[in-house]
Amino acid sequence: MKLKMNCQEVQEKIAGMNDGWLDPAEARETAGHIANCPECQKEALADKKLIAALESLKQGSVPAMTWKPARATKATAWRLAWLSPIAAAALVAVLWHPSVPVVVSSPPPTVSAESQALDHAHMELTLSDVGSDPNRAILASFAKNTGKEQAQ
Amino acid sequence: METIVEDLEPSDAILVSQARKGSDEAFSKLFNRHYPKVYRYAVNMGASAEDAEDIVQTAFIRTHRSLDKIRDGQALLSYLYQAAMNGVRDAKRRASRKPWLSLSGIFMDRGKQSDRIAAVQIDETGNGLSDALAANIAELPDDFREVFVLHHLQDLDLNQIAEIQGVPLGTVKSRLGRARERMRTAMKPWLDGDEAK
Repeated sequence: MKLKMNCQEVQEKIAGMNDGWLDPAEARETAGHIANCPECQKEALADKKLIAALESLKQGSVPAMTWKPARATKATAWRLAWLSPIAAAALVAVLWHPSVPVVVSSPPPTVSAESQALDHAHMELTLSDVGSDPNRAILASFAKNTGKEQAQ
Repeated sequence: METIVEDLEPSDAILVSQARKGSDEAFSKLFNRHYPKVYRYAVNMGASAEDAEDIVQTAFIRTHRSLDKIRDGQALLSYLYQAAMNGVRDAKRRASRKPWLSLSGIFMDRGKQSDRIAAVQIDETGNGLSDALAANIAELPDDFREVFVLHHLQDLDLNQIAEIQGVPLGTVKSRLGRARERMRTAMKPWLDGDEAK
């Protein structure tokens, strides 16, 4: 035989009893306990006050908004984005086909003469001038290398 | 009589059917009819006003994509709330390193949550009860909070909530019972006094 509910169990059922969604047997047992327990009576009353108080949260303002079908279209387009790598691969295959003449020029070097000189200066510093002021050494070496290149 | 018939708005089911056939106007009507509920849900779940607007748009976009699966108005609302719930979870995940606003947006990113609640509880302004409620709802675990907000602030019945959360009805009842118990404990200073009258 099931023991009678204690206060903790009853307090979890109070919401259901007040709202009416407990099954009849549970509702009877909960109501029976509450009738004889001042602490749980207070809880049942507090539960009713809580529900009444929640009305104050239902009146928040809502900004004016409109349905933006363009966003839905964009989202659909995004879902189809997986097709783009396939399209790119197909394009490459067509371009590389022996019957299609393709002229591909190599890209120009992207490293400038100045940065090459700086790299060179830094290498020289690392190899030969560890003990001196690194900034001054780099600048001096940079000037030297740039001068060399200009002279050449 | 004719006037009354003309004034009747088409049901959700009719609008869903028209939208499924490609009517943007029908879907726009559904949006206007239901977006306030979705917006309030997002805000009640703790989203900022800006996040809530994004959540609304995303929820409707997701629902728009699922029109083929929606058969009636009830299912439409379930889809919307499900999408909004996912939107809220996503937004919360994204903002996990930022402060997640309380229901009323009153909290700033300073101090511990318990300190902030205490600050709300001693707030003597006229709106203290709402703020305390909002703060304590924000403290509920996510599963409890979803049930609590959907039932008490969005007026959904427990069967609908079970469908939205994808859990048995008994689980929803248990979560709601425990959420209410936690709320009663947290709101004791208000519920024992005159404030809740």
